[in-house]
Amino acid sequence: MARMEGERPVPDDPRYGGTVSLVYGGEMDRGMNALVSFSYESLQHQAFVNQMTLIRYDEALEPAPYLAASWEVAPDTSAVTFHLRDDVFWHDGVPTTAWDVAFTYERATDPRTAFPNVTYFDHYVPGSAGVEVRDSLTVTIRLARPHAEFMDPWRTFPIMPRHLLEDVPPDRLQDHPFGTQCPVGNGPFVFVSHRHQESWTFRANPAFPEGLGGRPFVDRYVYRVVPEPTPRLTEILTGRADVYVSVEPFQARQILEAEDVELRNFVFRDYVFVVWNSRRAQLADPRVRRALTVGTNRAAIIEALAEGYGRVANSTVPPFHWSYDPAMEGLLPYDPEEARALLAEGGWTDRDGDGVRESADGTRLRIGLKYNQGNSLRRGIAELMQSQLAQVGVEIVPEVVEYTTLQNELGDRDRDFDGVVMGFVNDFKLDDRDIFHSERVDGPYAWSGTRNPELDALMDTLPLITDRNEAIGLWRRYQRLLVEEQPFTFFYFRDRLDAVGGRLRNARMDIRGEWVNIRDWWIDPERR
Amino acid sequence: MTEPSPAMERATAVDARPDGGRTWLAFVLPGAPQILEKRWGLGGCVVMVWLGGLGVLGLRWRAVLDVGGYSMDEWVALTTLVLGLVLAWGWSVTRMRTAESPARAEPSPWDEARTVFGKNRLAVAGLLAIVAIYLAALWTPYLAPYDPMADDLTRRLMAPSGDHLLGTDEYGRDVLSRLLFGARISLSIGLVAVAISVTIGTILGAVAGYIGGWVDGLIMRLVDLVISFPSLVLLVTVVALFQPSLFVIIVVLGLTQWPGATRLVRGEVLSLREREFVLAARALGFSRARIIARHLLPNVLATVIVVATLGIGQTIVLEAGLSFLGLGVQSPTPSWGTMVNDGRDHLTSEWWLSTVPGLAIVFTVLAFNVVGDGLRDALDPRMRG
Amino acid sequence: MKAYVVRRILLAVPMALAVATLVFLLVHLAPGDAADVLVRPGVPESVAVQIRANYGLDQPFAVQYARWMGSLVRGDLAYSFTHGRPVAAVLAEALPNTLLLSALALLIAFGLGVLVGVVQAIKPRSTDSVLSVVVLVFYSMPEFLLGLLLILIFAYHAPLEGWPVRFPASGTRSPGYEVMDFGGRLADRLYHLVLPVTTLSLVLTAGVSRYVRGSMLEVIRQDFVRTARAKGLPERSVIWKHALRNALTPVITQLGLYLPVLFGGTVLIEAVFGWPGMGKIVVDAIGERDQPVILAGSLIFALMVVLANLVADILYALVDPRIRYD
Repeated sequence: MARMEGERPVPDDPRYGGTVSLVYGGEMDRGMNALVSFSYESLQHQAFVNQMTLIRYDEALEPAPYLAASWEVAPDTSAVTFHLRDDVFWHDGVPTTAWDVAFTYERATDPRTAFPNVTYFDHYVPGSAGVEVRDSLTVTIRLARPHAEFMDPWRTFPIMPRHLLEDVPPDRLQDHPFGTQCPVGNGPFVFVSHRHQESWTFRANPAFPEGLGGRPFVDRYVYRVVPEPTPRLTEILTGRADVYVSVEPFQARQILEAEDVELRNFVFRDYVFVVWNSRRAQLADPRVRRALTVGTNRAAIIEALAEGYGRVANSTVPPFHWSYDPAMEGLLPYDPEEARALLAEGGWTDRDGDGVRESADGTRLRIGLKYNQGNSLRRGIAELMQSQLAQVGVEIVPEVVEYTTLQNELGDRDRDFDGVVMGFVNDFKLDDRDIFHSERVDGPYAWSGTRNPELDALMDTLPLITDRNEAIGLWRRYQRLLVEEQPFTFFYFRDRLDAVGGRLRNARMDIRGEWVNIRDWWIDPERR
Repeated sequence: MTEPSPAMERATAVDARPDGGRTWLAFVLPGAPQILEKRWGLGGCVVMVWLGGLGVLGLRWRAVLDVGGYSMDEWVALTTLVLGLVLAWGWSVTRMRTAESPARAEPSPWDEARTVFGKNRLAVAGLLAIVAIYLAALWTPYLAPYDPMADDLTRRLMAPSGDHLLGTDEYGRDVLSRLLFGARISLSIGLVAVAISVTIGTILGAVAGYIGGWVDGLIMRLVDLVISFPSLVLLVTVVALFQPSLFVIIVVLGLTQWPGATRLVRGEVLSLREREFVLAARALGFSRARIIARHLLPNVLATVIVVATLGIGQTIVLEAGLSFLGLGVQSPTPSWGTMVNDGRDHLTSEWWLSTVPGLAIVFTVLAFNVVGDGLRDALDPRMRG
Repeated sequence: MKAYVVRRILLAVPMALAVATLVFLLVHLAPGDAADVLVRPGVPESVAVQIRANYGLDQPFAVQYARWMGSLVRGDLAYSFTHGRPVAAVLAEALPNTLLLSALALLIAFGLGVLVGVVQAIKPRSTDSVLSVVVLVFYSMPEFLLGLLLILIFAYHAPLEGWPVRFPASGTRSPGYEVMDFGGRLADRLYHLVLPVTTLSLVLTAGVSRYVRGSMLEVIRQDFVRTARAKGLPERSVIWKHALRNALTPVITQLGLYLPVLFGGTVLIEAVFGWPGMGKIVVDAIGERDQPVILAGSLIFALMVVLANLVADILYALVDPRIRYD
């Protein structure tokens, strides 16, 4: 489908050549259509493999040029102007221009598109009013209000080809074959084919700008969908795959024992927590919630269920965030005595000798704990909390709920749950207002029903402060305040585990993602 | 224990000579005299009940006598234990005192069937296996060394050892105990679901086969509908709407499995419909309902029994498959299928977690299938006359 | 008889539609919809609302149903919610995968089953008993367990221990498939088919052989066999030509009952081997509330099963003259 203009000969460097294959569990649902997709693997492939974003983060997580060769920010941060590279072409030969940027931005902020990540542009002016094309390589985007991390969306938001998609009505974008059957990007790899639930095949883009490294080293890249963890492990151990993304913790040992496979381990962006609905009588008192946290041996559970690959979390602020307070990790250690004391202080004692505490008016301290089907980690947390908290007189009742049903219950205003074990993936831009702000307490994500004026104030102020020195004190206070308020029992920040086979070189994986430098991957020439 | 038929009475009477050795044996080891007479099935069952019960009492007498903390489960176990021992001993003793030879009555088809079955070694072995599994399931509260739900994070994923004969799973729970409790769940699901489906299936099949016409057409279209309904959709929706409890799963399995029985029974009835005894009954003016109930059904009973027995095996496999997909019994409840599913991710390192419950499934289903085959061989030719 | 067949065929379509309607109702009853899969903090409610509008999920049940029926009549199976592709395309990829797997397995099962069944019928008791036990074990084994064991042995231990015989643990093709020549591609497809087909066919073979054995035993006892022997015909011809032909007739009617296995009965195998067939597609679609896929899949499944039942009943009637369809 894609024809290259001016195909350049392959340089005389032994690193060029070969096919690299990667296994992962998720099928990229809407494929390369960034305007309608939301899964991690789709976003990664759009940003790094098939398409290009305006900027990217370097290893220090600072913005670096990519599609945009440079940019300027207006003095009052009311607008940012990008100057695009002049040597980027879509895989069908058409040059990438500022019109593409404008088109993609307008579509993304158009409500009819139902772009899942539309809050990327919360603080920008939506629609055509927010974007202005100065010339074919210069485009200005206007901000509605300042934000400390206002550049973040451009790191993860790829630009789409206007000439192929502008005639598609915004509300029909999700059906367009562009996503999964004929995507055309401008990134290091050109789409070749897609077999549903099996594989995506890409080949090297010979016209990728020399200034960004030029053509990728490998000839072909195959992304393989393997739904089960055991076959994934088998593929990497037998050398049939070069990369295994997101190794299960209990498989880590076998990877470590294998000779030709390397285990990568780094702090990542997802974390697991237990939501408490403080609208419920048993959970209204912060002392009870605190007792639930200290009555659970989180460190031991992490050791058991995740083989220790993670660290205890006590707030929503992740370890890679610049304001992360390392002291947070040691807070609220396992202390059943303290749990008992807190519960007694809150008026919960075992009045009838059955092992479960009751309040003065006879209500049992019985708390339902829901978790979704198919996730053994969350199930493990629920079951282990049940047995551990039983020792301090709390009756936890685990309840498994089918995945989509639970999603539905979580969004329902009835809030028919006491507690839910959940997971969440952070962006670099941290905004908890949907979850904790009292103004949004009737919104779909206010599971805990928190109303804390100081939290509100912090959440409103922090995004506006661009100077990190100024903000760090407030961030630290935010983290401590979450500990005091205890809306959730935060569980742990997960470490990411990836396995890389011996014949693949120069694959760098870190918090930016596994595919961040796929252009630079190369295969040992002796082992092709 | 069933009512002794004339043939059986004859057999035992002939051998119940006042023989010092045999008498003593009947008192001390119920079932042994029958085994000596080569009646493996009968004797074997009784011996198992007796020895098994005594064994449990002997090895776990502390648990048995600790009546104070008894749960419902344990009461049932105690009752069946005591009852089993009493009945086994009583039966053995009374059997010994049976009167002398009665008239040489013509052996009924049932007796002939029993003899044929008894000669089928494999089938008898299967029967004994089923009894053994049932006893294990009944007396699980005493047999299981640990609480199947008790997790212990310090003893996770241990290989089989002296402490834990079958190892521990990812939460530190004892696999053997879970296996025993799993037996109860798989067996109860199998039995009850098949009872439901075979009952529905037989009635509908008989009605369809005998009455024919539009009733037959309607019922067979209903059969088509149920078969062509993607039961997966039903199950996932059910799992999403209700918590997948044992009750719900049994009902769903029962309501989706009856078409098989219907077809077979209908086929039988179609063949029987033109036989003399049916024509005679019709000539005598009996109502259709009466003919179906009192003339046709007893004759299809043989087929039904075989279908039911084989059906139990099939249902156990089906339930295991559902649990494997995550649609059946949910963790932490230890159904065998759930255990296989839980152990699946650890297949390459802790392979016993999936293999052991898997083998339990195969063994149990094998036993039911072998018995079903034996019943078919024993009953079919006789019944057709 | 002919009238009966025509009537049944005419009934098949409304039957399948009835099933699909029931499925539509059930899916509607289940809590949650395709938009709920997106719900997480950071996604404003307006997006979920818009998605529901884009998919027509905000319409009342009757309107959605009418719309779906309307498009069905036009032969349009609509677009999948989750994959953003035409449902027809999704099924066009999944159906052949399932058919390939099950057709191969059925063929092998039939061939092997007949062989084993006949051998059991003619050989002495000891061989028969041994084979019986082996057959029974496979008959009693859940297919997912067998699949897991085969993966453990041939896809995990074999390559790591360096055995010459090894097979892939999942998928239908290798990563380098595109650049292979025709011969290489054929070999690659077969290579990936070995384990799943073996699993499925072993279990099916057990069932078929049991039936063939029983049928052969009955036929061998009959007069015409004795006549053939008396005529001096070679034993091999007596068994394999005359007896078998008669014994197979009822077995073939049973084949009709195995046909539903072809469509959607391979769910467990597909789950274990990551085989992208109809079963997997529909199960995933249910979890994601991907209505168009669930409906189309159910419709096809129902249609096939109904037709298979019809074939089975016709065969049954052809064989057993006592059965009358008036």
